[in-house]
Amino acid sequence: MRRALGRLGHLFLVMWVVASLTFVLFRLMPGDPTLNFLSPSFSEETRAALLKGFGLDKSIWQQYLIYMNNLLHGDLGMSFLQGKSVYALLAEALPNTIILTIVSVCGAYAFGIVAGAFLAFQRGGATEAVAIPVALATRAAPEFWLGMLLLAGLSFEAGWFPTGGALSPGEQPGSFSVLLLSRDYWWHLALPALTLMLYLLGLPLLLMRATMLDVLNDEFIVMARMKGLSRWSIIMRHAARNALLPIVTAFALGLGASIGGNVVIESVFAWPGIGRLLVQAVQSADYPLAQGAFILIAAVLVVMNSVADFVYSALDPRVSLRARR
Amino acid sequence: MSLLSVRDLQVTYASRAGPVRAVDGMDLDVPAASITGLVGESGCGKSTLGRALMGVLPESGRITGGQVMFEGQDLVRLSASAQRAMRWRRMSFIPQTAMNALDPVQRLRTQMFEVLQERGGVSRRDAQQRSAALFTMVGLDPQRLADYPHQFSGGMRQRASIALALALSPSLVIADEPVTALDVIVQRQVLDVLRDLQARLNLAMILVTHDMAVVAYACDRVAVMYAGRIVESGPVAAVLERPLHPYTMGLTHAFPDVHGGEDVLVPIEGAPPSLLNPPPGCRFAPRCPFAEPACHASSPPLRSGASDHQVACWRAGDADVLRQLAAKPATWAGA
Repeated sequence: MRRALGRLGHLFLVMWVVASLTFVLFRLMPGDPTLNFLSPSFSEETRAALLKGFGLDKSIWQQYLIYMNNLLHGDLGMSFLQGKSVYALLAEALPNTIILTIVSVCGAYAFGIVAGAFLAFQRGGATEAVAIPVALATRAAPEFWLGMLLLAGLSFEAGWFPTGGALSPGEQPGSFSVLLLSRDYWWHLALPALTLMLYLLGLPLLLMRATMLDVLNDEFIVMARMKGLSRWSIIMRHAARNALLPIVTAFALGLGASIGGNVVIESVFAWPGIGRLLVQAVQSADYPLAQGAFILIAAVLVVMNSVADFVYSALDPRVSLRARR
Repeated sequence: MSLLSVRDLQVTYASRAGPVRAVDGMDLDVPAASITGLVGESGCGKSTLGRALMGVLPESGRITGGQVMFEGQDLVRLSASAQRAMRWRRMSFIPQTAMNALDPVQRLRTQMFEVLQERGGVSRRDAQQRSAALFTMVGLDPQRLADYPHQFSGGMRQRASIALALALSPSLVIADEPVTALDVIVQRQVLDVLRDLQARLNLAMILVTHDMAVVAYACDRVAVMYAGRIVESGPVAAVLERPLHPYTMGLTHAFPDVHGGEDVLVPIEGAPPSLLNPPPGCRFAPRCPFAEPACHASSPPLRSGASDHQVACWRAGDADVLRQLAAKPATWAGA
């Protein structure tokens, strides 16, 4: 119990630091939020009125205190540019990002783990000579480049997939559950998800192969063979079970990082998620929206970190979150 | 009649530099219901022999000749599936480091049940009782079956490994350096458990070790291995008190006396020959202070000397004289 509280306090501290940093960071950026509304020809009074409306006429300390106070009450403020509450904008974009991330990360890890384990058994063969450079290449290729290649080939040339967005023009978004059942939505999701999946695939694949090779050399695998256990028991119950431990951590962290790190892919495919929202906010110096997006991303990362710790301790008896007995 | 009899066994590892014969023309007899010590220095092939008998050589290793008769069957010619069927049921293994030999993420109970159920065809309820009985037998509290390996001390892990090895009542147990990683007090406790169980269950056991003190304490018979071959074998008392091979003589002086004499420890200078390209004659000749031209020319066969005591040495006839010379440290300094 005390440990859980300590952990919670720790999370709180991290979030406070993140919130403060984003606050300072965006105010250090060049650019003035009013410039997006006003041409330079507007009078100085109009500009002052606008700044006052945003609350930017107050001293930076006052702004910070108001911001923190609002944050503690769960109020992320209003977007300068779009005039809607930041909360509503994020709530609209988050599901899209979550779907994109979950589909890609799960796909990449499911395929990567199986392929990595398979490659561990094909050590030194021709399969390995082809598969490893390919895995390294997809890992090294920039996401936007890969995305643009796929767009050029499969959308513009072949016309199999839409070129961007989440829905075809004219389609109504409707509620989230309706969206999930819409074929059009999944059709739009295919290319960005494929790109992200290819980009993410290398890590689980190479990691699984390496840990599997490690584990297969462990003494308890030799012992399992001496015991005359079936190949299936040896691979599934002993080898894979032990080799999966580091992958689990990578998975949880990858999920967290991806939710915040989809900026590039969401921009290339005009996917209406958090990443694209963040880019728009930064470009137009929309402080509240940018701060809100950053805090959300940081919160997801921090939570996924804790999830990784927790899952790891559940899988490996040697790791314990509780104090030792 | 021996339970296990190895004849002219050869185990070869493929390496970049060419084939390495880790076991090269080995003869060994293991009688039923007794402990046979297998001693030799690191790299002499004693662990390779254990793994070859269990049929789990590393990928680069292969049995390239000879025969291994065990319970009326030649293991070398047995099909892979017949060999797998025999493993652990008739012949089991106690590993060198119980640390990594137990799966770190599975409870001891799970690992015990796995063997009993998958290999022994025992029902879950019987597995429960049998596991508890096995743990009690090796001196562990059956409650600890619910624990993971990392919650055990080194000695307890080794006891658990012994319990696992005995789960299916094999007739032969190969123990590969079972006490090497333990401190001397725990060593003795584990050896006592092994001896006691061997006698109670009428087991045959091969105890691989590099420690003469372990042989003297726990074994009935001993086989001394050097560079892939047996150079001397026989009852422990005979071999330790009246060694016939110069290597054995050297070994007995290289370990402290159990009774605490003030002897100086005398090392055997030099290192074993490369098994990639072994010398043509006796493999110990380059380090042997008593080597003659004949020793360098051809390799001596393992022959029976006095009752039940075998040696592979051209100068075995002079053993009584050599033994007196070997007792002087100066003899070994010059070689």
